[in-house]
Amino acid sequence: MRSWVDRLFGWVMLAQVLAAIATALILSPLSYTGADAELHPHVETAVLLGVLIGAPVWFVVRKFPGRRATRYVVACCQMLMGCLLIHVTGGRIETHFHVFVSLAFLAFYLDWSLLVPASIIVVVDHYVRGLYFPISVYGVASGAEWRFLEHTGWVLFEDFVLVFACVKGNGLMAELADRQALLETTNERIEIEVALRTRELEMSRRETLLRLARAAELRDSVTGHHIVRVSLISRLLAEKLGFDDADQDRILLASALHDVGKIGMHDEILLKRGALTDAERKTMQSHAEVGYRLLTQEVHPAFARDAADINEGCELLETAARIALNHHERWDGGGYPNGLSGEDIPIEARIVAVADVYEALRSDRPYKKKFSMKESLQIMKMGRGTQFDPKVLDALLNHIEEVEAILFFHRDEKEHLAAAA
Amino acid sequence: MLGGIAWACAIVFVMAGALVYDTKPGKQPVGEPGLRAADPGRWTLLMVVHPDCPCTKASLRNLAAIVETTRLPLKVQIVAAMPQRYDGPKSNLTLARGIPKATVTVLDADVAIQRHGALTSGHLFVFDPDRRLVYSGGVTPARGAEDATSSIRWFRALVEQRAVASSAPTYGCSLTSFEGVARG
Repeated sequence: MRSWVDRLFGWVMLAQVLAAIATALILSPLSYTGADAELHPHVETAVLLGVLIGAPVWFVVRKFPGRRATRYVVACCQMLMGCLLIHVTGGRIETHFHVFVSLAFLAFYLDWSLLVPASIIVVVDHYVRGLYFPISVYGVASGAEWRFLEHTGWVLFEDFVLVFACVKGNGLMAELADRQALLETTNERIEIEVALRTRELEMSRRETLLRLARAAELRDSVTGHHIVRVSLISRLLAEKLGFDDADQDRILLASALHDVGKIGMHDEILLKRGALTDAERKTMQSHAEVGYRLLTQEVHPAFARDAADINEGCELLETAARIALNHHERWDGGGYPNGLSGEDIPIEARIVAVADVYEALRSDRPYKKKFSMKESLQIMKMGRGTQFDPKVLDALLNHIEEVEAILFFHRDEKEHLAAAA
Repeated sequence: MLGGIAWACAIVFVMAGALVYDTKPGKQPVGEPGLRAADPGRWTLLMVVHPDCPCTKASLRNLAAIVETTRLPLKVQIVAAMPQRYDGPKSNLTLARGIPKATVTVLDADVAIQRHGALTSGHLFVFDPDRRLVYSGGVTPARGAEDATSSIRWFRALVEQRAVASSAPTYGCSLTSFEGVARG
């Protein structure tokens, strides 16, 4: 705030200097010796004193705004400017209002100590000029030796009021600052609390979704980390395809639910060791739609306080539903359940399709042994542009070492044991 | 610190210079108006002015205050001493013509000096009803110092023949560029 007052005084001082010069030019522009005219010494005085008084203020308010010393320079120069204006106007009593306005203006700083040098300057100036040049300060030729006392009294009266205002103002400012600090602290505490609660909520939601995904996986295989591997590979592919951190995280979680529809499959079909009949295959293929319905069906109001909010706006569930429904679609349109092709298939589903198939090739299943990396890659390449989105497949091929690292670090327990043996 | 002291000294110096200038009187008159200038039976106030001297405006205003407040029979004569080759503003003539009862005469400056003896603008000669010169000097206490109250009080004292000086310095421009004459 004090810097603001400093700047304001800078402009006010400039205006005062110009006003003093203008006043001198209007009242006494020229002096004469017969017919010869030259610039009146009053104008020269106004320019010289204007520069001497105004320049320090202009300098300090620009170079050192807000500093205590700056305020003192401003206070002293402002009162000197008053002395100059009183002189230039020939001691007009009306110009003495400048002194009182200046003191009030200085109180904007809310620093009562500034009034001390300011008042001293006024009193000394009135005393000295009143004694030796009364016409210059009071506009009278004589009898003004003690008049400074009357002016001093009024200055002290104003000082008293302004000191009171400054002290009160500082108190109010301090109180305001305390309240602001308290408000900021409270806000900060609330923000932290909200962040913690949001995090808890998010963790809870993640845990619920992952447990749901795990439930589906357990129906299919009791030992595997299939979901973890598919999810991590999906996130890796999303990263390589340029998705931002939030989207990568969303794909990581949503991809874990890609086979959630298997919860609705009969054990005879799901755990059958032999080849599936056409009818069984059709039933098996319906897991995509079952999963989609599971993830999109509205929550019954009986289970939620505000089911409407739960059912809409959950981007994670929407993504998971899109993946569950479309992760068996093929790039060439030969997949199921809807026979979508190309970019009509959501990108998240295209990513999970690649991750899911590669992970399946590289894992043991009850009905098959895992393929080697080389064999798996050959099979994957055969699906380029037919089964898989070429862009996503290229991401896998270009970063196969990282994919293999995921598979290695998250291999199933029996493989761990075999590796240990 | 030294810079601050130098700065304060500079301010005091310039201010003191200005005050000294303001209280520096003009040249004393080299003579006085002849008796013809005064009217018998009334007070005669004769002021010689430069046509545009800024300090003289205060003298004219003080004179106007005297004229406007006295009930005595007065003759007010203002002589505008026009310097040779002067073609500048004539603001004091306008001001002088606004003074009640005042007669404004424009004279060549040299003629005015020769006839009335004043060398400084704003110089006032006061004759009593007996055509005696009772005062010769300025009516301002400094250059451009307008002080109507003091002027009225002074004239009242002069009329009442209380102890008032018969002369005082005149603060104003020089009516002639003749060497040795102070500026105003």
